[in-house]
Amino acid sequence: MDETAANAINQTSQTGANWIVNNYGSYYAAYGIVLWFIFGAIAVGLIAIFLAKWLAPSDPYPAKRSTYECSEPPVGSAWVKFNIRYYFFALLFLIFDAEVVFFYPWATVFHDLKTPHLSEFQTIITLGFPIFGEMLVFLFLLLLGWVYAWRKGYLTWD
Amino acid sequence: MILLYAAFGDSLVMTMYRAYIHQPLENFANNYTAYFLLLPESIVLGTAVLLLVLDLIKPNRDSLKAPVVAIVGTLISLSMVYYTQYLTSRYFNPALGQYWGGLETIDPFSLFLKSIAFLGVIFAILMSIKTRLPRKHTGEYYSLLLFATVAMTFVVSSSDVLAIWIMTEFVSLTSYIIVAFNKHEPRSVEGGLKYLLLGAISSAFMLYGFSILYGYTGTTNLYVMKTILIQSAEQVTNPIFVLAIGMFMVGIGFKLAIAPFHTWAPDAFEGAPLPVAAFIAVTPKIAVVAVFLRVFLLGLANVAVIWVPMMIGCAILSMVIGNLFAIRQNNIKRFLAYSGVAQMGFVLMGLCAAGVQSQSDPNAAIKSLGYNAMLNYMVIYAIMTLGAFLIANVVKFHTGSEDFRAYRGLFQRAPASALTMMVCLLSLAGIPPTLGFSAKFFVFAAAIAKEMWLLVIVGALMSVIAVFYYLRWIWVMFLVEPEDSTLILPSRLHRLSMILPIWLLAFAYVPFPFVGGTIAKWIYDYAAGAYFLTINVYFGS
Repeated sequence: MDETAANAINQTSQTGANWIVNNYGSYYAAYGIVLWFIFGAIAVGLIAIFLAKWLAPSDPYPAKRSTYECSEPPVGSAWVKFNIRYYFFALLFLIFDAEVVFFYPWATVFHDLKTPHLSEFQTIITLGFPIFGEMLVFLFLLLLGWVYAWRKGYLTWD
Repeated sequence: MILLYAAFGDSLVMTMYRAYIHQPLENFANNYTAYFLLLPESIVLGTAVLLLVLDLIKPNRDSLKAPVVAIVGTLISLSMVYYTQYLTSRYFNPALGQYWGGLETIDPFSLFLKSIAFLGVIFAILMSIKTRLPRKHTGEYYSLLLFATVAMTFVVSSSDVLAIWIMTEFVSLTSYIIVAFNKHEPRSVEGGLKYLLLGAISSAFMLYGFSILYGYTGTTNLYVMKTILIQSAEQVTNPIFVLAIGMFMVGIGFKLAIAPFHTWAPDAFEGAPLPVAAFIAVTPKIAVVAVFLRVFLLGLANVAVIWVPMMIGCAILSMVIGNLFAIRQNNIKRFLAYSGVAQMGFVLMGLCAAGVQSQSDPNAAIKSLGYNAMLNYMVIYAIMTLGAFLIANVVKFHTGSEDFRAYRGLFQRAPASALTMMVCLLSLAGIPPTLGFSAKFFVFAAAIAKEMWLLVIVGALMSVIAVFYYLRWIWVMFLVEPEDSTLILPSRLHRLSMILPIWLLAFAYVPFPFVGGTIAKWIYDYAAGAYFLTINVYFGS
């Protein structure tokens, strides 16, 4: 990290302490906006329910009240043991999910990579390659996990 | 990469960096790219991945290939730990030490604990070689052990609460899997499930404690946290700290298995395969002790008024509960689990003594006797517990039993094993000619120097009880006639691995000819050199 960043952290740490000491009350008051969000979320949900009740004509019949109105009729209870293989698939899906979640912020940072004090060439050598390499390592480990599951036969359903 | 290093040494790397950056090296060291300091971690990680790939390409289930690759990788990393130490001492101002934006700190303390963690995993791998494990998953087993080690090496150098939390989670997740590794045995699954459920709850507690600390100080970095707490000194008695530290203590107490939070340990140990029990008895505890030291003696050093009483309570409870419950245990793994709970009580005693310091000198805690005594205790605890598990492994291999009855007359059946076990148990009890005495002595000395009489008295009383139940196992090995008097011939591997604990523990006070000094003194000096930085140089204060 360069000097300016160090100074920035240094300043925030010092002002952070003063800020807590001076504005001890407003620190908790800042959570007020969270409270308003919660109220808002509940209100939106309630409004949607009551609006539907008020606007929509009500005509229930057995087929309409079943779980899937236009699909297979449900059989038995939902509280059954189901195959653990579903979890394998869920986990494998998560591999790619995590990949995407990590790639986006990385890509934006990587795109605007700039360092004070350093030329463009130096930036590429000292930051560009290492950051790119880090992502390659990450990708390699994820792909290895996927290939492992594949080769060990967890993708077949038997 | 390794070959490159071997051929050109560090000079090549340094020249490369100097050529591209026309800045003093000290500034660069704080950049995000000081990868060469991660050599130990990356080599273990590489070995773990290599094991997975080897298992994919050619699953050779009964061969020695996987453990040998794992041991070689760990040994190379162990040597790289010392290489890193050399690099940091030669090229960097050791007062710096924070890298990757303060996420990790490479200092003598972390390198010291890394080397012990590597020793622990080498022993665990040696024990696993002859153990019966599910054949389909042998390759995974060794790579999981190494993944756990990678996580531990990161934990011991973390100086940021988020890094600490993520890496302790990594340690725990791998531990849950290897505890339940014999997945067709109900006992193993039960132990693993208990470990998982309690561990998940404890992680939530720990994270909540950290979030309160972050909310109060506005930082996750422990060095900045310390600076802020010094500046707002009049607020450190704020009751919010009782909540935050209490939460953190619950979370981290589960991981260390100290007294009110130890309930998972005996079940998890009993269910786990023996080498895994040995592994989780030693290495995660080393990592968690590092977290204790970093968080309490660095981040929260100014709040010692609040955490020291809690710590004293936990220490006393651990010693009492661990020792009293260990008396009646007839399964060697449950017995060693409770003995571990009791031993952790003594470790916390050192931490309590280290916490009571004058706040004017920020280095007072890490220069204190309590700090050195605690690290000294951890090394010796690792040696003696691994030694005891080693013999338990031999007995399990030859008699198929972990029960008290299997140890009847072990001296007549396997004299060397019985002698090694005796030395380890006497050492755990803290009887003078063994190394365990050195551990207990310094911890008590630290507590007496700080006049913590309650801790000292409870500790002394509980040591007497401890002697009783350790001697019970020695009695059954030496003075009871065996039920089955066939000789046990340990394999060459087992005999070789027995040499280390015997020599380290039994001859700890015998001065070496020509060299001078004793093992006890060397270990203490080594532990005393493992200080960490308490003043934040890089972030400035």
